[in-house]
Amino acid sequence: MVSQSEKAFVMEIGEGDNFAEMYTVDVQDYQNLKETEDRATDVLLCLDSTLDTVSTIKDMYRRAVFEPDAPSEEHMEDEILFALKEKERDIAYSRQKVLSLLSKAQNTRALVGLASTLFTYPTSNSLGFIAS
Amino acid sequence: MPFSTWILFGSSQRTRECFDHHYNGVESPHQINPFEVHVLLLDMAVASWRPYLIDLQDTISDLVIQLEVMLETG
Repeated sequence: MVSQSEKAFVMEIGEGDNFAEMYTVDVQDYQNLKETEDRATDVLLCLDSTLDTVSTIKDMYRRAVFEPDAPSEEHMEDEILFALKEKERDIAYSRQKVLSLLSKAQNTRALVGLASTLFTYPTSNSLGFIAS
Repeated sequence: MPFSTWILFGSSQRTRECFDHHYNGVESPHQINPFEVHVLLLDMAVASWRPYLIDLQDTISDLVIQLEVMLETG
């Protein structure tokens, strides 16, 4: 009973009454996904902060080294600037990766939440659609 | 070339090793561009995220697959 109380049982109304054909969603998995989603949001915040730091250092370096009327640094050969831009690209890539993971987790959680809601109000016959 | 003084508190073993390795390659610390230290620290910060991001990706992928399979097969 305790084991069953930790799961959400979802059953399609009017599509057979075999209890073995129901959909089960473990509440612990759902909570784990929520916690992992929170971790991803924290990572995103840290990466944004690091990206801001890189941008500030790049700006400081440009002011310290280049003349105010110098052309854009895009045309200048400079190891420090090159390395800073490389870090910017690295962080931006990691940020995109985390955003993609976050979206994946959020979509799955929304799907599970919807299935659980339909179980609470079993008037709809659309669980087959959700499962598909 | 101006130089800067850095005092690190509670630096990790990896940070110390990285600094030692970097400074061993030059004759005098005064030869190092002060911004190089920033780049060095940023490099370590970015690199230290990689294992964490890989773990996060694995965890999310496992949970998503598990929940999707549960929804699809019951």
